[in-house]
Amino acid sequence: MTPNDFKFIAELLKEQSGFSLTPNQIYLLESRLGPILRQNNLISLEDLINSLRLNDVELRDSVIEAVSINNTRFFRNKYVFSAIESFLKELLAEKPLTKKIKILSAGCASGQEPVSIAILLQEMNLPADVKMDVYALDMSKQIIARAKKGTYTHYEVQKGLAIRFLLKYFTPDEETWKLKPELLKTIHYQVHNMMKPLFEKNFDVVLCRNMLSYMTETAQKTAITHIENSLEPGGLLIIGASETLHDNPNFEKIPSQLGCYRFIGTPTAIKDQNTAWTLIKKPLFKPAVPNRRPS
Amino acid sequence: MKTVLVLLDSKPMMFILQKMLEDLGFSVFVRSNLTDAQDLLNQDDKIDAVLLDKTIHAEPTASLIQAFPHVKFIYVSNQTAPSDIQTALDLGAAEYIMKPFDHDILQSKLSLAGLL
Repeated sequence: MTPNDFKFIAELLKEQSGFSLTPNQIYLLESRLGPILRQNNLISLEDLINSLRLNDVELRDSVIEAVSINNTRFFRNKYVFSAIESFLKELLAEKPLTKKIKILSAGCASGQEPVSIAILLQEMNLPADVKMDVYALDMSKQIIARAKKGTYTHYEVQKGLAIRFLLKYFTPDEETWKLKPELLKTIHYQVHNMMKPLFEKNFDVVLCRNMLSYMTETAQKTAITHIENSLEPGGLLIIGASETLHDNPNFEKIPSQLGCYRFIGTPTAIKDQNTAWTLIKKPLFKPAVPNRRPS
Repeated sequence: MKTVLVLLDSKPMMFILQKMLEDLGFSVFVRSNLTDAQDLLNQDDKIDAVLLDKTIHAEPTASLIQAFPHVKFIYVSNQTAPSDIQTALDLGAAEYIMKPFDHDILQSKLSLAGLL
């Protein structure tokens, strides 16, 4: 890929989705665009860029989805998984074992987060009578269809996933790696837009990371209210380290755990369910409202 | 600053890895054969990790790994069959990088091995 080609695609992504690419991601870009070339019977990246310059809208959307939505990895931010483990241990000490423990990954993209949770639960060696359900949702039908297959590329399985977990929970399948069916079946994937109430209630843990920062403040508050309405009292909510709950009084920040909040309120009915999901056109990883990290 | 020894007999790959590791803030040594690598490890007790190619050094590296238990050994290999990876883990490898890889993968593997 020439520097001009890279610049063209980087500018296209920034304009259309607010996604910001840096020059050291040229390799990532090439690896992500490979499948699009095959799907569209294009011979080279040059062909792809020529079609994009001719304003092929469908192709443009495929490129944006390929590069921006899959921005995830296994066990992203290790401290998050330590926080979930501590919380579950505490919960199991208190909770009658007759009740299922429910965990939700909101904005799960291609599934690396819920798969990491499923692996964490396996590695915790929980008693056989403890029942856990992992739910995972994303607004993209295409990405949920992919996540349900449990198939990951050579590159994806090398990001964040310890090699011993790759051997233990995946099997090679031609050029990809497939999550073992016994683990895949423990994850319930669903297409869902966070502007609508959640399809399940009584979650003990909800992860909603690096999603709020794409949304307007009003939309963020709507999504948080839907989460509130589906969390168990005392439940754990984990958002991105640079994201904010806008001083929502129903959540208490857990000291020294970035982005971790305990639900201390009671579920309330949402007032406005018609707030549109709106993308903010600005670079990724910057919060809509600055958040103060604990000292 | 942590120190990494790159032990590969492919010069181009050795220099690519050296550059990537230096960009990540590591101090880097390069050696292209096992004897020179062993000499360096004996002389310099500040080496935290060795990145080495499984294909070339499969057999003799078992004794190297055992001789330096405080050093993390990370394989870099074309071999991606689970049995090949398992063999490396049984020898004591801390992590395993399957080729081809990128900067992000290298960073992730070093982090998983506790070096970042």
